[in-house]
Amino acid sequence: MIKKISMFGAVSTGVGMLIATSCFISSASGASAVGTPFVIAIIIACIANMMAVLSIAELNAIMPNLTGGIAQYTLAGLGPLLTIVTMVGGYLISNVFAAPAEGAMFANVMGEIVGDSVPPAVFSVGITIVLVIINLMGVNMSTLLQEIVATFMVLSLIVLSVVGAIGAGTGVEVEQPAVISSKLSDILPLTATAFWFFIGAEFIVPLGKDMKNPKRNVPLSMVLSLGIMGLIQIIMIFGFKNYTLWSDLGSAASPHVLYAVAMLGKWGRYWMIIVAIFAAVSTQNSIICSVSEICCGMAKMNLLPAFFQKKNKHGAPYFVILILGFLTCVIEASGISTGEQVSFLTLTCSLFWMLSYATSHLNVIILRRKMKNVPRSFKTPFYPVFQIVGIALQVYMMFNISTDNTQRLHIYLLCFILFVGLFIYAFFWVKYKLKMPLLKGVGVHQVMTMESPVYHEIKKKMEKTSSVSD
Amino acid sequence: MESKFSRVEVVSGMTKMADFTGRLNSGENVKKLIKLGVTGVTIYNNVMGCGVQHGLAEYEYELTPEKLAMHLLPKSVLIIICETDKVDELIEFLKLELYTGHIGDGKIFVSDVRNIVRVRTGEEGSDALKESNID
Repeated sequence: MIKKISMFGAVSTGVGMLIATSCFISSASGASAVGTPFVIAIIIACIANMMAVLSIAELNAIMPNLTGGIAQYTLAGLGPLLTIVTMVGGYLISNVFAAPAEGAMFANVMGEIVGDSVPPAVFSVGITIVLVIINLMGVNMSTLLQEIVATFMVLSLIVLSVVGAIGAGTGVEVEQPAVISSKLSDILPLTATAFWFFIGAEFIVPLGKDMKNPKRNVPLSMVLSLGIMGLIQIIMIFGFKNYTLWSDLGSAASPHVLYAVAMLGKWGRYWMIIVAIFAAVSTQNSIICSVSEICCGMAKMNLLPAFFQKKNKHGAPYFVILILGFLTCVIEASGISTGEQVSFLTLTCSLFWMLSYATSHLNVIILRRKMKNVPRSFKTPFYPVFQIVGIALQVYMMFNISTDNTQRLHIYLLCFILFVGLFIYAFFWVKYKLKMPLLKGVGVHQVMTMESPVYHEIKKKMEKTSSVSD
Repeated sequence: MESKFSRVEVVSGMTKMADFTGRLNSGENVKKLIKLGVTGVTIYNNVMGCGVQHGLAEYEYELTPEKLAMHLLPKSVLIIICETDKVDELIEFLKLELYTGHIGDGKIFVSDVRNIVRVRTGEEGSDALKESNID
């Protein structure tokens, strides 16, 4: 009998999924801008994402055990056109930006070890190629490693943040004001920066079928994971205040290493380097795994061309893995390494992710109207307050995606170009390939039926027969 | 006049019903049923039938809903007698327990019950549903 995942197991997996080394760039960037009041932005972003995962939990209660996750919920709520635009954007493209951000963090840490003799791109491209090969050999190889790394990372961060916050490190504490700015107009826009800490909790949903009491534990573990992650980040900000100058923190390419060295000397450096290498590798690896799974799910639903679900003899969807690996390597080879460049990638990725969270809220509102009597094992409390406030917060963060005007314009421009491309692709794909109404939600039972490979086999046979008879 | 008791019949696939009855082994579900005044359940297994999809598989029905053939499939029927004022709550409980979102989750039929008689003691009505006062 397979052992069921306990609440503790689900929460630790959730926190492991949320933690990435690029989070340090976000926390350093936010803290160096306003000091400790950055915790206000962290709390708001945490609450916004808690609302989003509650909506996702409700959608999961209506359509349990689906592989494509939010894509399928959106297909039922908003129809195929917006599903392709928001989901291909929200998950696929955003991860194409997230993976190189992690690669750059890995390269920076390697640079700390070997010095400037080797260009950083060599490390980031190198690790991506290794991970692509590992994934092409079958994803199961890395499952155990992922769990070990996640646990090590979570425990390390808790210890490092608490030691820093209570001033128990061996390094010299710095004298600096805790607050750089207490103006709300400076603090609130940083919620978009803090958003990066809290993405990915929804990846707990697929574990639901192996969990004890999933009706209660899926939403609860997502909310607890976000809460724990928020708490770690808040404590870390106070640790930063005690051991690193705000100005140094903002300009560092590896703020986590800077903090660990200032707090614990050379042992802190070794510890953080090990944590960072494992975490960067684990996060980039999980991005490759999850994106290829999502692509397969979407191809299964005919939302992407069928070749996206082609698998090699190890069962790995090689086409997606190779494409993702290629795009990641191209961005990494462009030489990103500074905190600002990594921040650009994470913020662009965040914007797409915010859109997909806002879409989830919208899906809940639509399905509550369309299917009000459908039994839901989980319903978001205080409907529609969380949905409306959640959408407002996500939109607010999208409008304040960066406090730097030039960076914000660059992000908008990039997103605009990508969205136009996606709209054109989605329009032609839905209208001429799928031959479905562009904006009409697909029935929940039909979405669930489309999960079955037999459905597509029969459909293909029927299409062939009808084309022959024509 | 509204009947004091109702008969709730659930017709569903055998696997789904087996999952449901399996969950009745957990104390939590039994507590909920007792709270709803349910003192017993009866299940017919292996009854044959079909619904509006005429027994077609879910994917088959989506693609060829006009197909004219009735395939009778093995089903289970669950019967519960409860007080009429608890019926709505009981239906909500059953809906949540049986829901998967797929075609074939089943149907719930509710009808009036005029009387209940416990053969051994001759008790009638609500007395026949509870533990006997005579024992």
